[in-house]
Amino acid sequence: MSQKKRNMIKNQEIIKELEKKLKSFSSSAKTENVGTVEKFYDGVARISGLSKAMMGELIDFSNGSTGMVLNLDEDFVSIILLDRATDLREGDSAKTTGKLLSITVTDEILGRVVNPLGIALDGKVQIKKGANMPLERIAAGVIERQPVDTPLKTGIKAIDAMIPIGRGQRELIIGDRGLGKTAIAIDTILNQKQSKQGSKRVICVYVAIGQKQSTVAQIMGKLKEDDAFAYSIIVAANASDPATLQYLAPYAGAAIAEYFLEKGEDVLVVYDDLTKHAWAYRQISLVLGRPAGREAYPGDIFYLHSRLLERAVRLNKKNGGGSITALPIIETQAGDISAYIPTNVISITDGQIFVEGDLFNAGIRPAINVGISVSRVGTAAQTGTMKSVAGKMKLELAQFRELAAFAQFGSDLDPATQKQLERGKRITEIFKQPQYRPMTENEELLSIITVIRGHLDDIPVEDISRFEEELQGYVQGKKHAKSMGLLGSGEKLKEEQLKDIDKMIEEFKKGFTTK
Amino acid sequence: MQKKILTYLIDDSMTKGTLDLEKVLTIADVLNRKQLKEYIRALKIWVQENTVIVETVSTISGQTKGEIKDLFSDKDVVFEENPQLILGAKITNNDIIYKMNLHDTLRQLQEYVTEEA
Repeated sequence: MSQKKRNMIKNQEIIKELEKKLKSFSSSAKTENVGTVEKFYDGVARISGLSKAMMGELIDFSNGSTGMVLNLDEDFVSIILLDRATDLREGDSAKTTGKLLSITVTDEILGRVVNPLGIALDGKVQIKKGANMPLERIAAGVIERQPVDTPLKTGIKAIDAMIPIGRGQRELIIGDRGLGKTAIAIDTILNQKQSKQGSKRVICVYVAIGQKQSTVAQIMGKLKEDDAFAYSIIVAANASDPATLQYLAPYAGAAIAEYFLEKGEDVLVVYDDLTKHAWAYRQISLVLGRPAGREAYPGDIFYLHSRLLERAVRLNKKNGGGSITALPIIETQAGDISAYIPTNVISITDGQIFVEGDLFNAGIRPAINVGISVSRVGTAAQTGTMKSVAGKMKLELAQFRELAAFAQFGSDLDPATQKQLERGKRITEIFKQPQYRPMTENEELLSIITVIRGHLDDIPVEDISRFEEELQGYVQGKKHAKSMGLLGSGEKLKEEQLKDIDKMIEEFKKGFTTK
Repeated sequence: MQKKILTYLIDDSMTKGTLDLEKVLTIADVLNRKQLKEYIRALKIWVQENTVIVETVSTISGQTKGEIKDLFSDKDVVFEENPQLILGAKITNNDIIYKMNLHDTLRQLQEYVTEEA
């Protein structure tokens, strides 16, 4: 087709669009509600007029800035600016737009880094056309939902076996700084690449709130390196961005997730982290002059997070069957989980993964305390195979913890107790896993079966990680395809099937030499 | 200054529903700088709330003016000429602006085309 002809078609399309727009013009007058800037401080503008403004409505300023209504008072409205707007002055005019804050989303947003307003931060083309997804939205109701029944594999043995996460669940990752909370979330994103065996793909949204730009760049680099960026989106409101953007970031992430949810897709959203989100909201609230409550947070701080996390959902088939799984992250101070924000988010979510400094320093990584971590709904989503092997391990680990505490007081222990302690040490050892190395369910099952069936009882603890690694390599061949296939069936394993796997492990063990 | 006091001051500044310069200056004399600022602001708001500005391209007939005044019987109506409107009128009633003119319609169309592009 010639260039001239292509241009003609484009022109005709433009004229058609304009004609459509003309039809939508009503003969009645266009009404505009205006106001005047009275005060402007710390990113908040106080405007007189705007008597018809709605809560959450977008406001256009004469200097080109945009803001959002957050307070409606008798004589004025308070608006938070969505940009730095250093040139906004007293006396400037503002007008209502009749629109609520939304983000433009298309399928092309996959593999992109955007800010909470949808502006590209990766230097690529701006996404202009697409669905306008409102940042604030009422979560799906009871009728549209169904119970969590599909697992969301993290690729981390300790989590998939003991604290399983289901699609549509809200699982909190909580702990002090630098203990690997983000690492767990990133590993989970990386593991979605392995989603196969007939399961639906999972789109991942990583929301960075108040983080350093270098950290976000590092995460982006890692996702790219492991080919995980193609199914991921990063929403970033960095530490240098206004508190407004940090406040809006998780809602933008949820809005993007909802776009894919409406298409029946499964989405994972990581909110990293909600502590900084609460700080940003506290800052805004204090500047707006709202009454301060506990720890100077405003009264609606609980609602801030509950309305966000309530948007995590597992829809029934009638409503598309998609899901949004939320992994909020909370950073504690000196392990204090009884602070205001941690207790709030703990009560909102369907379970918590606790990461502990003591475990981290003892070399147990991921430093998950499986004793106090819990998943309230994920067990229903576990495969039969995992459920059958993980149940026994949970029991053995609980017994080990009890005995370990007791054994500290005496040295004379009976052989049965000693055996249980040794088994516990090996279970703890098998839970260690390097960062960015998520495992498939087959690999996880093999490791767990190896330890609970006693194959590691005569292997020194320091050789266990090498044993595991070499075993995983050994079973990759065609020779063991049948036995490994049993693990991937998803069904509860029968005794004879377990014996087949035992045989395979024993064969490997014959060739394994301890140091 | 309390809002209630400001309301009293505004009421005392009137004679038959319009501002009285003599009364306004008397009140202003007894106020300090901060209070005066608040008083001026309150007066401005009062004037804005009680004035309707009607902008048209050319002078309109007395009959039309009368009809418009009837529409806003409780407010002071000011008529202004604004050739920039090209065709039609623009009415500002406190913080609400009614735009019924070609200039704004064309601008709206331009905004739409820019957004779509």
